[in-house]
Amino acid sequence: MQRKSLILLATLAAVSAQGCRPGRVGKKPLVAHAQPHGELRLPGHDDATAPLDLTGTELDVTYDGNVLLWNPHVTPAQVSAISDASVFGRLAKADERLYEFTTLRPALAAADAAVTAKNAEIAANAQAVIDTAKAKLNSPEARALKVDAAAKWFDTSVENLQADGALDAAGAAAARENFKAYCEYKVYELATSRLIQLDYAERPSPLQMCEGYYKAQGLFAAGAESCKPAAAQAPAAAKANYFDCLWAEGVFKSQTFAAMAGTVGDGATCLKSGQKRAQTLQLWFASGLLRRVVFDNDVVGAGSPAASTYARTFADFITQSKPLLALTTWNKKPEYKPVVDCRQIASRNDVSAVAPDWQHALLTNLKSVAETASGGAQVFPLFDVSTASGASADQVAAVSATVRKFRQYVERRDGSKVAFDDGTVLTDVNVSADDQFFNQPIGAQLSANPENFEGASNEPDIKRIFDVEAALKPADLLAKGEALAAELVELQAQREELPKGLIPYDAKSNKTSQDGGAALTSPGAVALARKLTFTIKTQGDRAQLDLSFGSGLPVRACTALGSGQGFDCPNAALAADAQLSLTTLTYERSSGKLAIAIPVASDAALGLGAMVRAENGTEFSELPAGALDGRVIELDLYPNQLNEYYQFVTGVVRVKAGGKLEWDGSFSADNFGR
Amino acid sequence: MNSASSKLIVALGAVALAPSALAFENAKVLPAGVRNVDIRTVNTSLDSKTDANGRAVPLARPLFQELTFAKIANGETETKGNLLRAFLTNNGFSDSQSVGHFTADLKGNLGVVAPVASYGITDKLTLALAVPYYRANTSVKVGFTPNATGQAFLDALAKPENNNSASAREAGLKLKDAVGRLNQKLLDHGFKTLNDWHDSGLGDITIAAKARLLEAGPFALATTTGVVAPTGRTDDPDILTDVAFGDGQWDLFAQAAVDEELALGFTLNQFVKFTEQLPGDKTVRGATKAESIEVEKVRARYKLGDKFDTGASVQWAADVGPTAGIGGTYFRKIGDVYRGVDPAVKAKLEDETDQQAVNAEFSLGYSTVAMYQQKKIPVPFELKATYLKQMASRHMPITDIAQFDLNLFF
Repeated sequence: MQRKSLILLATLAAVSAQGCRPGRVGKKPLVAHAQPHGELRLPGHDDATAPLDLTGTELDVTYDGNVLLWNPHVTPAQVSAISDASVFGRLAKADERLYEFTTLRPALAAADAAVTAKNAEIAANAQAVIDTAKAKLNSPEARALKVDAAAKWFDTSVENLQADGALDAAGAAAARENFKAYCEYKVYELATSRLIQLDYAERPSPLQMCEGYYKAQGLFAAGAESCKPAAAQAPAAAKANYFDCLWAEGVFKSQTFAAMAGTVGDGATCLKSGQKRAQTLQLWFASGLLRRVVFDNDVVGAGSPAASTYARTFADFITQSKPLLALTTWNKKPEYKPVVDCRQIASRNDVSAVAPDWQHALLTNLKSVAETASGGAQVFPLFDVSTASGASADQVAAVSATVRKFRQYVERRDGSKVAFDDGTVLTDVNVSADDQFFNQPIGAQLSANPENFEGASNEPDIKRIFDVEAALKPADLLAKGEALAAELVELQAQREELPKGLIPYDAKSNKTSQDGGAALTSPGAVALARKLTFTIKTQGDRAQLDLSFGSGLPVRACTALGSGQGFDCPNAALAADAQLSLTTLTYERSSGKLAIAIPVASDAALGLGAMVRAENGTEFSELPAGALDGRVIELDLYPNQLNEYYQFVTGVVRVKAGGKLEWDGSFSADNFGR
Repeated sequence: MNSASSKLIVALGAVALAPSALAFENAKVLPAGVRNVDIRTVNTSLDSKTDANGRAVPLARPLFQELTFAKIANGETETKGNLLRAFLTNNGFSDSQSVGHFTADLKGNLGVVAPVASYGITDKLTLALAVPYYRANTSVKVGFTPNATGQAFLDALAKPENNNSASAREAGLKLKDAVGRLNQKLLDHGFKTLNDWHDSGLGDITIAAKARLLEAGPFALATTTGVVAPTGRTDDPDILTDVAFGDGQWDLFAQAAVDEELALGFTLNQFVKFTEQLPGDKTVRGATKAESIEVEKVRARYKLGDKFDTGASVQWAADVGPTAGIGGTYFRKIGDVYRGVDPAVKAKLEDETDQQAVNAEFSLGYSTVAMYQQKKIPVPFELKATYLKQMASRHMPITDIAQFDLNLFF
């Protein structure tokens, strides 16, 4: 028994010693080999492009884009189509921006510079043309051209009117006759003007257009002493008075004067009235009385002459001469007797009968070339054309155009000033255009106006009347100008072609946009899609985000970039927009994320209310009205940019109810359209 | 990591030692009235197993998983998963691509003390009771190595046109902490995290009767029949690295052993054993080959595969005490069968459950039994050290087993 007990004890001891130790088996701790943990290069903020870091920037960028809430059962293919379109759209726009900024804009700038340079070259050439023509303006060449052009103008115009059917042969003949009478009128006009009191280097022309007629009629004969240039009349004489020339070689040789004079009788007896008037006038001229009649009658009477009296017209002359003549006759002043020796002029009535005939003959019909209204009809005295006489509208229009050109020349008030020896200065003297166009040296007192040829461009119609400048322009420079103009056209055409380089990019963008739209509207892909616009402004340490969905209530949020903490935007800014709702914004510098949480009181007010999907419409909401009310919409915005020129923001949208996620969404926006 | 967490310690319980089929069988029984206590200790360590082709693979092989985009997407909400899938499509990735792979090392130590008490009912019949006591611990380390695709994925996210740098960072951090996220995922689904584990406790108790049925000249035949009671802890479906001390259901076994006494103290032994594993039911994880974490626990009926052992050995015992032996064994277990579960779960549960092994064994010992019988020593006992070398196997832990037996007779 003792042996068995020993054995039993030994057994129990062995079991206890070997089998019942709790815990680890074996003496060495059991440790599995540590396993490798590979490293990944995490894209960090350093890898991101600059716009992710809003600090230290002055930003004011507005983005437009789309926001969507995914249908919970959207398929990967649908997501793929939408995101693919979004990414490729982004790349396409970025490419377009890159092309625009690195290729197109420099090219346009270069093209614009080339156009500008070409324009400058053209302008310089044109100026050279002008300068060259200007240099010729006062040359004999220019004058000859202008004189020639002026001399031909009326006949040419009549021929044109005839050719155009505005005038028939009889009308053309009548116009030429009327023009001759008009030219004679201009002789009388200048002969009785106080302008003729002034001295000139050469004979002033009553009307340069009429010089051809004058020459044909033998007026102002070149050989007449009184009409010669001043230098020819007396050596070293700069100026001469052409009163005698105007009367002796102009008035007295005119057809009108001859008509008035009638047939010269025996001279011993009383002349017929016409002869008597002509002889009387010639006597007055020869005795110098006429000069005094013309120039001195103004001072008859008390006081200084009014300035207006110098602006004499031929009608004035006639009117004012009559009392003088009458007075001279009545008083029989000794100084006039030798010349007023026509005994037939013995009465006041005889004298007063002289002038009205002139007036009648010269002034009644041809003192004006204007088109006038007569009983409601247009009348053109110079051309004997009137609507009342059955002229067609085309005829009237053609004649009217010619008449107006004529008037522009002959009645042009050029602002010339005439200064007289007594200190009187007349402005707006109607001296016609002769002095200006033909550089008639009518005296130093007549101020130069305009001062150069180009100045005439102020009255382009007048330039067109004679169109002599082209003849004054150097042919080589004109040719160069044409070549430059052609080059300019080519440059402009090339410049216009440049924007077409955007077409492929636009097409690509449009394609991705269409793809995106189609994907977005794919049934079952998206529950809500809306336009999204927001502006990020940074200034110093602060950033402000203004955001709106569609046409909904704008949301404004602010954050301190340094701390990343949001704060209430200044109330002042809020006051400016009563519909603004405030929320807070946070900024995570490590990722560049701007996060905003928008409590939704009313989804409709926020612009996220129900919206029926229109065909191909990219804005819709399949959510029931008010489905987002009471929720919080969280948006994480990640600003970024591609190739330095294209800025965009993408991010995620979460709609939560009581902290529980209800909807996932996405958005993408860019500043491409801005 | 979806399929990484299938049970890691596959059939470790197979080394839970029954009192037979190992360590030199014989046809000996106790004399009537003699009692014997065999203090048997078995120690082994393991870190690998064999696959279907008999190649050694780490025990942690199930953790050697590729983390694919599909797995990542499946772990997200439907919308986010689809967003990810769309991103993959748009950026030239495929769902099946891997972003990295998990690696792991798993080691285990197992020690069993199995007092086997025997009593000679008659000179021909001995009853035995084995009560094994297990001590086991495991250690596991898991790592994750992202690959170029993972990096490319992050880079693609961070492309300016995609503008997902923040997501890339988030994804990168998740990949960096893939192991932590795996453990978190395990916790989220009711598992214990992948950590070192240890436990001890009673194993399945065996009751057997050995009858010496035939003695004919140098030959002797003995049969052993018995049952194995499900007293040991079964594997915990929530712990991926635990060791089962029992298989959870009753077993019946029968064995026949033949000794042939040779000259000079040598004996040739041959044996054959069949173990019928009775059906049972237990709670298992409804793991599949595709997913083994996000699965619920289900109740399954099962029938573990029956086992067949056979072997032969030559044993030598000198009259003065020393003993020695050399032999070989063959083990075969057919596959388990599960019922009442989803086919995918069934396939996963039944996978790699058919086993076989060929072992060589050696023993050295000292016995006073012969001297006691010659009354030369007052206490009969035996000491024996046995070493079992696994020569080839399939679906078996690669375990060389050291066994010590102290037999006391009284």
